[in-house]
Amino acid sequence: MFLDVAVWPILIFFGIIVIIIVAIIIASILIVVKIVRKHQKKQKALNEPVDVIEDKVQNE
Amino acid sequence: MSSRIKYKMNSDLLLGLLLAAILTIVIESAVYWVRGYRDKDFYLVVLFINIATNLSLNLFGSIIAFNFLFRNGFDSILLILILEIGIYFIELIPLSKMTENKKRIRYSVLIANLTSMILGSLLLYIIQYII
Repeated sequence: MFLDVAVWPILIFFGIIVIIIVAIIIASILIVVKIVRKHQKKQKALNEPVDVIEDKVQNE
Repeated sequence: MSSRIKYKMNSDLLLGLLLAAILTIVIESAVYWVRGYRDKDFYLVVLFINIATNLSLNLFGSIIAFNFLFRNGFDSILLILILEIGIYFIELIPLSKMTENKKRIRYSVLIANLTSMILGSLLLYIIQYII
């Protein structure tokens, strides 16, 4: 046997913890990307000249 | 080693990770508040980017430092410093997109990270010593 039988439960425990932490890290990065994109869209809409917005409304 | 000692080691490790993340978020948010950032979206980015970077630093940093490469205390501190420099740039990318004044955010991120690194380490040491 590669490792003592008593070691496996600890390894499995740490493995699960590492997987959960990696999942939290990936989810946090995705949330950050989403918030930044939303913020940039908001800023772009705020900075857009009034005549462009009027044109868009007329086209719709 | 008895099972009680093993359980205590595992819970200490998780408690340390959680405490480090909470302390970093609280200290950095306080620094940004003092520097005049009041936007809700900005704080959401601070919260999630710190969860990602702090957990990565503590998890991968400790795995690399204590299991594979470095066994000496000075080398571990050096590794943490190098990782912190990387974290500074990783945090700077989304936060600079959230604000107009790029020069101010560069200083703010630097101050926030230095404060959280020094104060966070000290507080974590004190809290773990008390517990």
